[in-house]
Amino acid sequence: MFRILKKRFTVLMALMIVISLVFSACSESTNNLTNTSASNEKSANEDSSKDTNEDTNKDGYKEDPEDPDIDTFVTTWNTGALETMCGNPFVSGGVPFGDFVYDSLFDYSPLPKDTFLPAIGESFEENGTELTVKLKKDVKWSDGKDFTSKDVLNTFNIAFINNSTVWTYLDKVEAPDDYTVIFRWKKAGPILKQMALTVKINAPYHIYGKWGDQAIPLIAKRDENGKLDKDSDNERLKIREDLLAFKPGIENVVGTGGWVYDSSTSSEILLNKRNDAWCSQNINFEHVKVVRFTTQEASTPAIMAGEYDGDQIGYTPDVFEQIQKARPDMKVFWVPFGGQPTMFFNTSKYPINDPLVRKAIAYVIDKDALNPILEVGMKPADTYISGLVPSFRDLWLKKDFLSKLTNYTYNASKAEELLKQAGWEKGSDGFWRDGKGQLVQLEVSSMNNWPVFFLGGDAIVNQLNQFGLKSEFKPMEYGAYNDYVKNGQHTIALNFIGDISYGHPWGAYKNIYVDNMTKIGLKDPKDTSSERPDLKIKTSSGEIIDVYSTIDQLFYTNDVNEQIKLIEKLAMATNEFVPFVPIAEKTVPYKLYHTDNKFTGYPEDPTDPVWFGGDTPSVYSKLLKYGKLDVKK
Amino acid sequence: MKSLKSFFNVIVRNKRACFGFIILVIFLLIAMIGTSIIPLPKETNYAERLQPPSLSHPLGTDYAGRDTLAQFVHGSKDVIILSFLTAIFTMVLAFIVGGISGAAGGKTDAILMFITNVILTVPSFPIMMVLSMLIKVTNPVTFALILSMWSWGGLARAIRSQILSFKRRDYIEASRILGLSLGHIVFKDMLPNMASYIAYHFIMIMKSAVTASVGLMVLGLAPFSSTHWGMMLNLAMGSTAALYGSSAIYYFLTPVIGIMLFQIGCLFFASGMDEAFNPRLRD
Amino acid sequence: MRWIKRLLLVITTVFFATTITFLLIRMMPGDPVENMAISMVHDQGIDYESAYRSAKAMLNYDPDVPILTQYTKYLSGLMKGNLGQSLIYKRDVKQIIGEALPWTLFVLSISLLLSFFIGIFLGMYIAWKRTTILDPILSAYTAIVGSIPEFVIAFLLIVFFSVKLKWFPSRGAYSSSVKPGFNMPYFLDVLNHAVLPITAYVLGGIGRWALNMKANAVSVLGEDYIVSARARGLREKRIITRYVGRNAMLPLVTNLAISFGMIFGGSPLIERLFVYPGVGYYMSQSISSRDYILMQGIFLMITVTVVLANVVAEILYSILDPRIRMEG
Repeated sequence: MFRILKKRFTVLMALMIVISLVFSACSESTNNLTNTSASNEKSANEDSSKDTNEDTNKDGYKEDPEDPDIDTFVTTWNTGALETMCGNPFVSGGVPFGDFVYDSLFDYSPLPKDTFLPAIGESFEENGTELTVKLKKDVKWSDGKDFTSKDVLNTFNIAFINNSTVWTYLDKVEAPDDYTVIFRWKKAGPILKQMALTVKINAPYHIYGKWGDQAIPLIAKRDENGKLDKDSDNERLKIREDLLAFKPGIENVVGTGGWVYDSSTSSEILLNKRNDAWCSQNINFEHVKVVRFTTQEASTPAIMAGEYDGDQIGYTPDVFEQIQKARPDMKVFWVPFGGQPTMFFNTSKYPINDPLVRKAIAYVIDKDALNPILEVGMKPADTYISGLVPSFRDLWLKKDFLSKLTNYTYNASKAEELLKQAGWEKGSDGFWRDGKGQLVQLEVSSMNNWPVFFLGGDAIVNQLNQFGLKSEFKPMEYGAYNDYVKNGQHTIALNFIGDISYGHPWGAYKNIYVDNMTKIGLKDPKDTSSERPDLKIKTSSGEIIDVYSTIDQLFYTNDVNEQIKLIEKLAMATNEFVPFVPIAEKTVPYKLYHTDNKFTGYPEDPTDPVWFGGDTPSVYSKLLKYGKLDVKK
Repeated sequence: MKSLKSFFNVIVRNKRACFGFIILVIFLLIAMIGTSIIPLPKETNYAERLQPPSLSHPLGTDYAGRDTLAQFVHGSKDVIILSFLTAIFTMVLAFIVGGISGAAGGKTDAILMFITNVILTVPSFPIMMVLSMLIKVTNPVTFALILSMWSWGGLARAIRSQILSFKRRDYIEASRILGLSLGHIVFKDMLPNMASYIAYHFIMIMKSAVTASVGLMVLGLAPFSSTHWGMMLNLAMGSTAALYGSSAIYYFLTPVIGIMLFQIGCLFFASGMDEAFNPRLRD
Repeated sequence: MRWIKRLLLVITTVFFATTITFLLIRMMPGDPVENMAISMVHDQGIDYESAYRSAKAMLNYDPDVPILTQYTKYLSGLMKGNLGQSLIYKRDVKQIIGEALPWTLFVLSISLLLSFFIGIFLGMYIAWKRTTILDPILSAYTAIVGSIPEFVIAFLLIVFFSVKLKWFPSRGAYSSSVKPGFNMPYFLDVLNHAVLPITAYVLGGIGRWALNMKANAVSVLGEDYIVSARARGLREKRIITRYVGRNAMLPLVTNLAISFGMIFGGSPLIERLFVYPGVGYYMSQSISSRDYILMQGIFLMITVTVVLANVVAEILYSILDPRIRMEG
């Protein structure tokens, strides 16, 4: 009996294995049927590149650091789920590798100073409210059609359908001929050209024209504030719904960039080089492989094993040290992008609704001591709490102006002084009591999936407790954290605040006071109106600064010296208001591996415009399309 | 008193139970006395981050330069309290449901067993993942609640069938004929007979509570105490490159060995006890 | 009649389990719209309000709809066999599960059977040779390996076999360079990717089976009929295979059937670590992104399989154990 049983089990087990294998084969083959037929519609020269791809397949496609696959550039980032991919870039998660297949008119870098690298745009000219752009003439979409001004217009029409910010400022976009586009702004402003020129041109007219064209009458219907009435807005939403329902297969993605989609699994995407793209002659690789980043535990082994050529993952010092040891061929380019990790205050909550307490806490935090644990490449924090990260602050604010601001470097006695001023007293147990003699208890919350905020929060709480402010650390799961902060339940929390956008201080102040107004306690979380709170701050010199109107004014001020004056005002107000305490300035660690035997030709200077990517993986597509990365022969 | 003495006699005689018992007692001592001898270091010292073992730091230091041994000691308190609470909660839930179901029978039995079945069909770990966000984990009690809320089903069922089989035994029948109350039957007649059974499961629940809590912590879903071994493991795996050749390996191995020893202690003690109290196996 | 009653019980069990999970899932803090809006603000540089509106439209999910309305909508969908569309993946939940399940079943059924057979063999051996030196050694081994959480084992395997030795890949189910389908390179690639996850499960699972088997075998050894068999002078080997093995294995076979039901859920921890596209991986993804629909679908699928597995286990038990067959 037992023997029979054993026999049955063996048979069962064998069956299970076979069935499972067949299952997995079936499901994947239906899943990827589209891939094999992918190249049917593509032009002949792509088919040839497809053939070379098949050759590498036969090689087994193993990434070995001693013998790197010189044809392929392998990188990784958080692409999101790859199952959502489809040929429509407007569907969320549709084209997660958009940087490689689409181009903006120009590639922008604020560092070392405003630079616009011509991509599919050739030149531009600014004249008051008019921005005229000349397009390159040799650009072709990956389905063989010519790229013209019609495609740019259509992209902006679709952007209107999608309620994009740029239309808040745009009056209209015109195309006098096939290779000229004119942007007409309602009012001139210093950063409007960044907004227009860096939009990814991803709506070819011959595919998305039928939706873009529907936007034209709606654009004309806007009132003087740029708003649509209810009916028109519903119409807009309907067009949008229709646009999002368009889901061609991912192999049908059509762009102007140097790459086309080849195939993918749930964890990686393979792209092939195009031979008829405007930048094809610059590109020195046949393939790009994008591996989906999920967790650091999963990606660190791959980096150690030499599977990647480049990535932008930030590491804690200890992990970084080990990677450096394992990969002496790694080069890191620390690029500032204006990211500012902070601990921020819910200024509507006791006891930090008192500015004196916030200032005291700003003095208590020893930012220099935090730096070594956070992430390698973090720069020292802006101790002036000017609202701007040091890399950008120093571009706009002079040293003698900064000397007029309060410098919140670590200073325990200053902190004690301020707390006493607020009527607080230190108890016999070493912890502070408020004016009513109550023990003060602070709570610091953070997300737990990012070492910067998790380790940083832990260390901050230790510092606060050591100083005598009783504090509790509350790390939370990412979604729960967002919910907690959104509902204003937090007292002190950690996150990025004051990130630069469009390379201009306006972006930072808008981020602090507009995007994060509920988080820093200026607006009741239950208040869903778009109304801005009233925030007037009296500086130490007695000047009263209206923060919101100053931010608006800055946006439309073209004269650089006038801009600096307004930025100084905002810096003074922020320095006085202390809505947050910066704990560092984040740089993006763009890395290249295999620099000993595979790569050459890349710019060594991290402030080179191609290295600026604003924390996105677009840097690698730029390196490739501008011919800044070559294979060692 | 007499039963306690015979309990120790059995423990001493059974090598396995004895070994497990000693491990658990050591952990208990560490958690109770160790925490008062070795204070939890609050001060961070980044210059001495992730040091290998030395005289001043017998198990090295963590990512912030704090003594790993001290964290281990305080972590063992967290782990023991958490697993103990989980075991109590689970036991209580299982006894309430299983006990009532077995003793009452009829419709009550049917309804309670239906609920138990429903609980048993929904996978427990994913539910714990959901629950850990629903009930914010801020202290061992809430955490233990999450861990026990979905794990009493099997035990409740087992208790019910135990009670059913007891019901059929002669002396229970006798008590019933004598007109003794349900409470009397349960507490005076059934419980003493089930003592070894309860003890065995109590320890085994403690063991599985450690695995589940560590799993949730490694996923980052229940980050309530930085000294809990699960959190130490999470930090060591995620932010210290423990296994790639750095001296963080000691920071990583400390909680792993802690988890291992604690579980082995539970296992040996429980299974040894089971062996010892199963009279047929005692020669 | 008995089977109809059974079926009704199964259906009501599934119904109640679905209701409970539905409520629990919706009560979680945070909502998918919020998560998506925040990432859109970061990625696309648009302001929060328009991001929130866009996210709501994109996800086609409105968190402000009352929970009862959502529930009735979900149930009426279920009646039509419609599990809904995943919020994040934008695809039919049925389709996602249909693609994830084979991977989970492939890895886990192999692991389960391997650990079952190795486990019962070890367990029986230990029970049998209780007085030799082997018992403590094997016990210690199973105790130690069984006491280390599976994901720690998995992590160690990745470091040694993937990073240090570079023998096996550490993530995914196959590489993008092979073409999926009925071809040898694909099968080999799939097997190559499955080696580490399977090893992690097996190393972690053996201990449990061995200990269960040992406990059962030990208790069977104490039974009177074994004593009398020994007294009758039957050969030790015969007693072990014929009497002890079979009787000790009986409850484990039911356990095996139930475990088969359980494996449909995969392991969120291990699949996440290996980025293995199985059910557990999607489970942990859907929980962190609050993809209610997908979460709900996976819970339902697991519930149904667990219930079915229990039924199968019951039937198996009644076939294998003649006493029950006679009673029933």
